[in-house]
Amino acid sequence: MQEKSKGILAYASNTATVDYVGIAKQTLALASSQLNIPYTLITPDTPSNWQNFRKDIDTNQAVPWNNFDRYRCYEHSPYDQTLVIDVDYLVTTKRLLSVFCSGQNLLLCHKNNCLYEPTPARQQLQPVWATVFYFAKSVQAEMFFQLVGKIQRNWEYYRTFFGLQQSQFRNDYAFAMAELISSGYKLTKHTALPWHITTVDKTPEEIDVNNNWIVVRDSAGALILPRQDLHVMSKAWLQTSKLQNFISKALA
Amino acid sequence: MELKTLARVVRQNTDYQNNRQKLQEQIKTDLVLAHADSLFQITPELIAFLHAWDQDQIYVEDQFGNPILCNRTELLHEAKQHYHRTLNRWHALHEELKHARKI
Repeated sequence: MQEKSKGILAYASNTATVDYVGIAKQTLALASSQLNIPYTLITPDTPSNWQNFRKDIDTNQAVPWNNFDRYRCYEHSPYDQTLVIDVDYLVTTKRLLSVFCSGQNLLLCHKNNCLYEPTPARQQLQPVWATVFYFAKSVQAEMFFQLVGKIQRNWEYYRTFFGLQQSQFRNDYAFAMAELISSGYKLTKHTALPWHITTVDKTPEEIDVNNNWIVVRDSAGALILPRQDLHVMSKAWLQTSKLQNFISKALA
Repeated sequence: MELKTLARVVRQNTDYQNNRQKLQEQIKTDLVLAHADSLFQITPELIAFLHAWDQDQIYVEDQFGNPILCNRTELLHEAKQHYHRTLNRWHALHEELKHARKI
């Protein structure tokens, strides 16, 4: 039997303030080296009809952001088994390889540990984080992403139905809704990644890495974390040479 | 003790406890083992259970709440190795963390 193809998929769409493609090329090279699997970067060739904003943690202001069409990962992926990661997710361990041996068709992240602020509550929805997720080509995964697409196209309806106050479309919410609907409105752990993601939710002065540890420094002090994959929200930090230094050390 | 010194000691202890907790959380998730096309949380209870059972074929609940048919001896062997390796690593990192606190 032919071995199933495995790979990483990511999306990047530049904005006026953030070179997402430049960041993606570096972080995907890191992820690909760590996991020893290829990657595919999707960059939209036409501007999206949608417009969205996110709160930038570096400036504390709303900035444009294109986070649409993530649901199309199913049709975009050239792999049988696909790991989808945000371009600001730094893969420094081999842990994610185990998803390919999980026997599951769909795995979503249910837990996000922010280093500085408590993770926001999600009202009626079980939290899901679209920062990193896994799917295998299957009927279950195809239906799930079709449903996410339907939720995106009818966002006003679904956000009202689930009682969300936030009007901005977020993949996290759309994924959470799709998971709840597709599981028959039952909370389930069948599709939960068995670990959390760790998020650096402030602008760090420095992030250092060695064999065993990651040290996140800011003006107030340092947090010492065991070496692990890290979601770095500060686009300002990601666009400096500090990212390349971090990657060089992580791969050393 | 001066207030300044007290504040420094408290901050150091707080940092140490935070770092210690994050290490513990990480190790817990490191104890997930890929086996028989599924993932299992390795615990002392699971190892003891596998050790005590007397049949070779056994259904074990995986990380996703599914009963998975496993070869007991193989799973026990891998679980013990994985547990041993992970806990040794925890101990080593924990010692390093104590040292880091004094710097």
